Amino acid sequence: MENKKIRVALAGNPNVGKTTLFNAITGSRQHVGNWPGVTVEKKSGMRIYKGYEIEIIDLPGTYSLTAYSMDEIVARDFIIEEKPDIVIQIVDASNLERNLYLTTQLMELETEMIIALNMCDLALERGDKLYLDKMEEILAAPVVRTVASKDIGINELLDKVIEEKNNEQYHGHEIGYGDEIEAMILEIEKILTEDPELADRYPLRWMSIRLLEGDANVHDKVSRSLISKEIDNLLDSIDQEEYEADIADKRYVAINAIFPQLCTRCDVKLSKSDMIDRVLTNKYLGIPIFLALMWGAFELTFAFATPFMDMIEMAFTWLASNVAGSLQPEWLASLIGDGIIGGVGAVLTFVPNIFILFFLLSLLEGSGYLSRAAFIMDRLMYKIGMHGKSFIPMLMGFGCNVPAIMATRSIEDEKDRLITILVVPFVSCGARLPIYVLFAGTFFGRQAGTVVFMMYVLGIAVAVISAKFLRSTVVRGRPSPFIMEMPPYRVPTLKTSLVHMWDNGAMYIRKAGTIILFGVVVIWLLASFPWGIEYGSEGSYVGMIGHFFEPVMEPLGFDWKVTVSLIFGFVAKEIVVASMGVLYGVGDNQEALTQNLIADPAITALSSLSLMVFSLLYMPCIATLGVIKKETGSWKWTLFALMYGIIVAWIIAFIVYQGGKLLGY
Amino acid sequence: MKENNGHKIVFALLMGAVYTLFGLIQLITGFSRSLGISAPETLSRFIANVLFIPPDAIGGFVLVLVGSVFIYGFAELHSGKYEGIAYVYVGILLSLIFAGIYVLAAFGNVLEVYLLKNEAFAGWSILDDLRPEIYLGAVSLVAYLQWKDHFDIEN
Repeated sequence: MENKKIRVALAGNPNVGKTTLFNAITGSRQHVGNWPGVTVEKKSGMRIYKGYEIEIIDLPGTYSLTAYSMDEIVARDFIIEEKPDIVIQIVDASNLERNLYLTTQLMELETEMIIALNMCDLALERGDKLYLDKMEEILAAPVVRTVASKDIGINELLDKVIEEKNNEQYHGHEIGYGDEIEAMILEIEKILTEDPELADRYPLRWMSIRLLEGDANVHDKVSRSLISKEIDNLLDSIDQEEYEADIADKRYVAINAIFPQLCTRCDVKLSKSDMIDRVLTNKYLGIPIFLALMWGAFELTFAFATPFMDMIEMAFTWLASNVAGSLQPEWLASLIGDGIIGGVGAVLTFVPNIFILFFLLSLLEGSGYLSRAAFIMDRLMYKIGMHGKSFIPMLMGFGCNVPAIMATRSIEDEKDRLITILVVPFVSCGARLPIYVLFAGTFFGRQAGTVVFMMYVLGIAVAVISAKFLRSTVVRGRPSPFIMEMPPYRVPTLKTSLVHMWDNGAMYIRKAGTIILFGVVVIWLLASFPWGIEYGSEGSYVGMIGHFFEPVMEPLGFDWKVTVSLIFGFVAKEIVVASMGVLYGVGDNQEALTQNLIADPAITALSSLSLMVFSLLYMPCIATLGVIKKETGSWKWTLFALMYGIIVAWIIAFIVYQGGKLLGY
Repeated sequence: MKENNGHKIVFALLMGAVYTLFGLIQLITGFSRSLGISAPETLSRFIANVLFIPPDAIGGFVLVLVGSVFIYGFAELHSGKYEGIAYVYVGILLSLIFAGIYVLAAFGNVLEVYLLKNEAFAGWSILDDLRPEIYLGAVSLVAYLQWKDHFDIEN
């Protein structure tokens, strides 16, 4: 017998555990985040439960259903256009009052709603008393207690979904806006009813309220109708801004009245979360603690990964020597040994670093700390002309610039968003880490961890200065205000952190098997031809390319080999290290590469520092440029990002190298 | 009811003082080394072999920072602000986090020596990786185990 189908949308404020609940229901592996932007795109999963096929759609986290951000439009449009059978609003029980604003708006969409009162454990631990019966009565929606992180209440929630699906009668409650506004709502509703298409498709009361609030997105929907002129005439006759303010005010009045009936707060105790916040958001200690924790993460990434890197390297060295030794003809042995195994192996050697860094970032994120980091950086961000929310994509940029740029969608103001998109590529992504590890490890010994950390700091500093520069030149204006979330601290679960680590680390491995493999084969071909030339020599095509660009790069301390590596790094930054292995003819043998680099008179500690700086700042990789084009919708800004990065990188690397030489290094 | 925090006040003061002092030594020796300046040999030996403080400027900054958190807690508790206990709690947590980082780093070196038999680690002993973050972290661990149920305070 075929399962009956139910379509369920998960809505809620950011950081209420929506994604965790989604995972708990569907068992799907998905990134669990503490900041807005992670679930901008629709995610869906399936659960077979008691003979029902329940499709779950994870909507973006929003504070309201106005149309000020893409997140809100996506969430709202899904509910009104796709009409899911049930909408589950995940409510943070420890932050009930603020979550009710969205509840009041969801109620107006006239959809079957269930409230999942999540994080009940935290609210109860704090001493709050929650009155679920009263809540169901006032909000006219079933309420289920859940603790998604511990799988508590999930089956009860699904039972309720089935029950509501079979309950054909909908009877919701909505906010009343007072006589004057209600009269206007009725009048608009009456006009809207004249268009059967609109009347069939949308909840008309909701539509009327939104029109009164001056919602451009809803106005667009109406503008295609024959009744649009009549609506416009009516709206022109009123002060919409005043109506908007009054409507919001009425919602808050209603929430203030409802809230004490749903929950009594017993803030007798200061929870551990509050205690930690007292210190980590301290005016003087907050930023130094943040820097110290980030430094600790990089120190550990470097120190703990080394033996695992050595193991991988030994495996690849064995593979390369055995394959190269047993294959014929010679060129094939060279292609497989020097090119493919050497190049790809050189990249895969850094997998432990990448995995450890992502694991540590996931712990910080899962604990709720990164939201605080954004909070403590907000004042500074505002001073430099950036929106407070910009800090979150910048932090995500430590992993990969591509999702970081996509996460800027949660920034409402277009100028704020554009600036963030343009500066995110300066944040050092995981792909650049192998370059630092190789050169810092080779030339800076025990200080390697600190040098790597300084690269990350430099990336942030350049991003910040660039933002200030762009704000005062090409993208003038003031950053818009922002609301920041402070979710309670949680002990991050090992499973979630490992899944997050794997998802991001696997992307790196996939790249090694695709684009990097392709890149190293191209480099091998260019290093092997014209036929008969010494492999990777100055007479090869790769040597010719390097020599052509060398004059531009020489002032930075780079010879032709480094120049070639950097050119190919445009495809993916990991290729810089892979191509070094190919060009020095040592493949993935890290120790041999290190020895070759030390022995090469063209590369010194100073030029390697300059190389790290240039690699950090120069043009974004192809994937990042692609997403910049997609998100800005402009070739002009894409080209600007490309050229701006190259110029900034060249200038700073020049200062580092020539300055160092002047100081006698 | 508010409990007596005498032990925690003394602990915060002592840990704050030791962390800050050791941090400053680590910071100064780290900078001195990068500038090519070295302390008298007896003092250097005492710092390195008795106190196990490596010359590491950023590590020193972290120690001073943890010390500052403890001192902040001491100052608040001493002036009668009960909430100062939050600083003692977070100071302990930070202390444990950085101890954990260096213990894992040392474990990495153990793998290099005993599993991979890396020649670069010839002559390495576990004492080479002992540093204030680790042994002061051990003190914090004892304090945490002792007081873990006390870190919920009443206003």
